[in-house]
Amino acid sequence: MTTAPMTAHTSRMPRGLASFLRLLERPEGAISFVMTLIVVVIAVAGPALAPQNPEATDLGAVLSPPSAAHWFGTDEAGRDLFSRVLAGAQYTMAAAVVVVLLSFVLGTAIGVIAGYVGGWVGNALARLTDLFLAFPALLIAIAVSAALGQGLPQTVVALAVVAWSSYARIAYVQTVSARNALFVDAARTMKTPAPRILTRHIFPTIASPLLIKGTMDLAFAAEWIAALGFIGLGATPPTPEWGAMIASSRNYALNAWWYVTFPSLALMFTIVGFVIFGGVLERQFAGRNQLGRRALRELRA
Amino acid sequence: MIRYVAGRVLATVVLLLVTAVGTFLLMRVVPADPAQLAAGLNATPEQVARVREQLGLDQPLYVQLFQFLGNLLRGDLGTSLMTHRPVAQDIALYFPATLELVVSSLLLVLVVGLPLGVYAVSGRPRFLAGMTRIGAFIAMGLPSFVLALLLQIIVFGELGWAPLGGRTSEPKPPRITGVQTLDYLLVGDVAGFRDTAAHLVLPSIALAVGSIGLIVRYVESEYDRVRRSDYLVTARAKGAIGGHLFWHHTARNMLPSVLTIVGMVFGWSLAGSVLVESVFSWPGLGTYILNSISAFDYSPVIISTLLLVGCFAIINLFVDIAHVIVDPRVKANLA
Repeated sequence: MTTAPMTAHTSRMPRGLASFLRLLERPEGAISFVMTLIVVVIAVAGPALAPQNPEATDLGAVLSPPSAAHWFGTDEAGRDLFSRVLAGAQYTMAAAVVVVLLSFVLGTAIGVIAGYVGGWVGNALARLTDLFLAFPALLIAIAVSAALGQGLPQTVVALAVVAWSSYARIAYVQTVSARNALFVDAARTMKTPAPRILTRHIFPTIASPLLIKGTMDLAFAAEWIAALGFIGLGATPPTPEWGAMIASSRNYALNAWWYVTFPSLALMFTIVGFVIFGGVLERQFAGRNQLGRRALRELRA
Repeated sequence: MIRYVAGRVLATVVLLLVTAVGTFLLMRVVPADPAQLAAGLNATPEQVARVREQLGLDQPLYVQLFQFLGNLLRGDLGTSLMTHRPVAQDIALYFPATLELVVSSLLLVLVVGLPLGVYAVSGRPRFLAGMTRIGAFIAMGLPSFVLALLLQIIVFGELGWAPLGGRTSEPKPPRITGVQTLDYLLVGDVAGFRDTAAHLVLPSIALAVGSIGLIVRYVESEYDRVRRSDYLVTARAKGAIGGHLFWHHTARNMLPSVLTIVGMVFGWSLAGSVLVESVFSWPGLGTYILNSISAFDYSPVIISTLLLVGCFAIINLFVDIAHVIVDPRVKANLA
């Protein structure tokens, strides 16, 4: 067992504390981990941390600059921007997580089935994957969310519709090589039913590149959700969603710098954190899995 | 080679066909009733029914699909409810502006991104090369529309170095190509050319920065891969150094894969232009799409979007063909 298929099942997601600590040894690993941790904590606890109701208006304090009462200033309706930015993390992260989960499950299922079943079904599914990979995702998401109408749930569906294909590709190439591996043969000999082979024998060996892709996609999903909110297809004001907030700040950009700055910083902080963390994970855990690493690399291209 | 090209052309045609069918289906799931929209909000039910009949919306779905595909082939894309002009005419009006923006941004990506990518691997001092790598990550994490707003606030608002938005403040040039920088040059209007070029700067930067980050990361890993390859070690062992080593051995081997990523960046810039145009009121397809969205006029949205998808597919086709031409290994595999 020293030939190519071997590499596919030597990779395992680390479970021990040791390998996690190794991740934090590099400065970019530690910094990006802390960044993502901050985002996650704020997303979970944001509304509880917010000093004021993020949707409460105060017409006596319209567009007031940052002060002790309003750390990030207020918007055109006197809403407290600090509270809104904190609350916004929840919308962005929840939507991003759902987008990634939906596309992860859908894409992995399609890829694993296509790779394991093979034949014309597998071929057709692989072609379908290629087709979707060939589309510029953001454009399709715009068209789909225009068709589905305004709203955060519609945005999530539109993004999942376009994002599943990269997971399918990664799962497919790895499953094709794992299909004939000895341990899969052994499972088949024991009359293990196919669904169990796919979920218990093949999936664990191909999971790490998929999980890395998922981490990086959290960044892109967050960016796209904000982008769709920004062009008016996502969350509707006064929902404290970052993209929608940035959109409504545009009219005041030149005389109320704080209005556009803080939601933008929050968004960039989130994206940069997850992009770098994904990159660190990729370097560390995809390294032993040649096939998975190549699939990831090709997709980034 | 011919078989390969024919196969790729066929695949592109299939992609465009699937796109068109997808377009049609998308337009049918739109929550708004197209007949109601076309007839106007105050129309009586009889009027709506008459419009429905006129538009062929009472026909079975597959009949409508074939009508739609036929119209598409004849270049009849319907009429915009917002501008009251044929969508095809609108697109001819707005598309050149988008193309102008995307191409100038792509030039920026190439001129800045490629050298920086090489610098990130082998540049001196080490510290600055490392900063370049980190900068590339941050650039990738900057959403274009946020960057666009920040550029407006800083470069226009604080420094006053570049115009806020729009395409020109001079009298418009006669419409020859629709690409204004080119049109001004064709009629010899230097002041006009300068003015449009100044209007192009901020949107191009906003659109380019994310792609520059991506290109730097990609070139960096490609350069690293090629540098460690056996053929480069051999070339060095045989005494190749400096510019010769870089251009004839390293760059030549990076060219095919860099070409692929540049094609991808072109496609992404087309998509990204929708956001950037809206910030800078750039009168391109993106602005047209967003205005149509706010007017609940969905068919121009979907048709323009899919026009952009079509461009993307065709660019990819060209890149694949160029790939065969610049990479003899691919050609040898095909033969």
